[in-house]
Amino acid sequence: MKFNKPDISIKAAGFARPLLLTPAEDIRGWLFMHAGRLLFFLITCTSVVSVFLIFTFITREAFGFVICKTPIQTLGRLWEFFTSPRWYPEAQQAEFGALSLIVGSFYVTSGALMLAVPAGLLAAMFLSDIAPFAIRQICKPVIEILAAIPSVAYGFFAVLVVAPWLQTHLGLTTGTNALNASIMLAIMAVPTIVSVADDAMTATGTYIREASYALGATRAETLIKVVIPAAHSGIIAAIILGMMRAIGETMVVWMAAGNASQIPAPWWNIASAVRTMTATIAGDMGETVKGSDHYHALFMAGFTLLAMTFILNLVSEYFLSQAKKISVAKRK
Amino acid sequence: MTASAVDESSMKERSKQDFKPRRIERITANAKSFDHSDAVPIIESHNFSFYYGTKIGVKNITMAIYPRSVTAIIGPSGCGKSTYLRSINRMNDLIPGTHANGELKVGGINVYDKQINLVNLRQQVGMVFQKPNPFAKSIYDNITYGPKLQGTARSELAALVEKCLRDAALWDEIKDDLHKSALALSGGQQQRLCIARALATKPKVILMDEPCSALDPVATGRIEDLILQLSKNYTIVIVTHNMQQAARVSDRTAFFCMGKLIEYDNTDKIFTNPASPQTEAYVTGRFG
Repeated sequence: MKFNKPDISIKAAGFARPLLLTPAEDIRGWLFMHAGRLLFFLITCTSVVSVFLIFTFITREAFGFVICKTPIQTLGRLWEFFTSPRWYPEAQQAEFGALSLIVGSFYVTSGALMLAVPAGLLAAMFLSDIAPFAIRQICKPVIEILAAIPSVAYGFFAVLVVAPWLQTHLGLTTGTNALNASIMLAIMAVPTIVSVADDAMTATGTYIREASYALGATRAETLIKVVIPAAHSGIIAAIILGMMRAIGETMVVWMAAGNASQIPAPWWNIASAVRTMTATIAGDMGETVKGSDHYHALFMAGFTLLAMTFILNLVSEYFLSQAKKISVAKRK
Repeated sequence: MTASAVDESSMKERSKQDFKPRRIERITANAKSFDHSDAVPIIESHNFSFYYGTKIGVKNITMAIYPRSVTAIIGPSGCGKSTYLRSINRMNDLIPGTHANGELKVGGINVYDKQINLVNLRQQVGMVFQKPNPFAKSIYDNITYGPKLQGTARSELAALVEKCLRDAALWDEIKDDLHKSALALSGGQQQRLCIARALATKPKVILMDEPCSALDPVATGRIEDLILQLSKNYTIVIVTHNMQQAARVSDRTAFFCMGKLIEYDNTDKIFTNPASPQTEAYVTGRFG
């Protein structure tokens, strides 16, 4: 006897509902599947495409600043932008030396990291290895709330509380300066650093801790010689993510850093007012004529920032993937 | 690369010669040589109980473990065998909210004494865990970790590493790769590395918490051979789910159930003529 195509009108023995799709069900399923797929694809595309568009837009506008009639002029423009500290975009003889802005950004960022990295790493060590479970459960969400406070609130705090305190207690002439901005950025970077570093250290697992304790190591020895080396990729990623948060922050540095486009002199004078690239873009953009040199110069600053955060992002991705590789290898 | 090649060749070698019925051999050997009537126990517990919060881990355990022998602890999951083992070097301290009652003496000192020196205790009562857990460091650094903590001179380390690896029957396989990552070794090699690492702190006792449960039969066979070798110089306490393993390697066997010690006797007695019907049901596979 030949086996023909099964007849779907015949119920299979014992199964009350048919095991095969009817043609209508088949078509409906096909439609729904593809419609759903398309919807999800388009939504995902939106974010990918907008990143791409932002890149092209900023790059194009920044090129408006760089491209001049002759290549020599172009190089001159770039040379001035990256090496001259004189930022006078609205002067009669306009000058676009962004060095003081770039230095300002680096200055407050590195100041913030100097405060936030030790504090963040110590807190992460406490949370992952020292704190009892209950305290960890309370502390971690509270620290993460720090990241959710709007930056303008930090700005208010900087202007109304920290600035007067710096003036009265440290005797500084101005309270809004690099130190103030660094302190604020540090507070904002700490939750990122604590959270990512703590995750990395917790992810090293109880196995290697037990191994270390069983060999007679104390808790301090275990932390320093086993846990931190095993989690180093994640810890580096945590620091870089904290740095990205600090370098891209605008509102706080605008309110707290003093906004004087100058390079601190002498270089260690953390009490001098500085101006960052982000604050300059935010502050100046409203007053420029679209298409003017000043307008394009601001986009050039934006492009510089974008390039920096993009590189930092790549580096942190690299370290996070290393951290993942290590923890996967350990679980095997 | 070389490690896995060695593993494969040794696997072939083993399959030819090494799988002989060790159990019978072992039990008859026990019957002749095992008599501890005059030996002083190295580990001794008297009415020892351990609690996780209010939950009982083990209750009223009274047993004595003798030096230079292998003592196996068997029993169904959750019977408290690991709890007891991990109490001996106080590894249970890592779990918050636990406490202990009664006496658990190592070398005549109660390990739950407030004055106990945990560093010295753990260095002299080494431990091998269920899963191989080498550090993400080189093989060499894994072994020198403990001795370095003890302050062993740098000049002595190389010789110590070789000795420990030889004792753990790993030297010939990895002597050229000492500075490669320990994570690149196979599972069985990693576990032998963990044993070598435990030997490096010069322990008297080695606690093994299901050391072969994550390993294949070939690697398990090698660890068992190693345990037999080591028992000439060390006291070994091994927790295992595998009753054949207990029968093959141990001199004495303790059967735990529901946090209690049901029976503790010479291994051949436990497996051939147990006193308790519960033990008999377990070792014959009718329960647990």
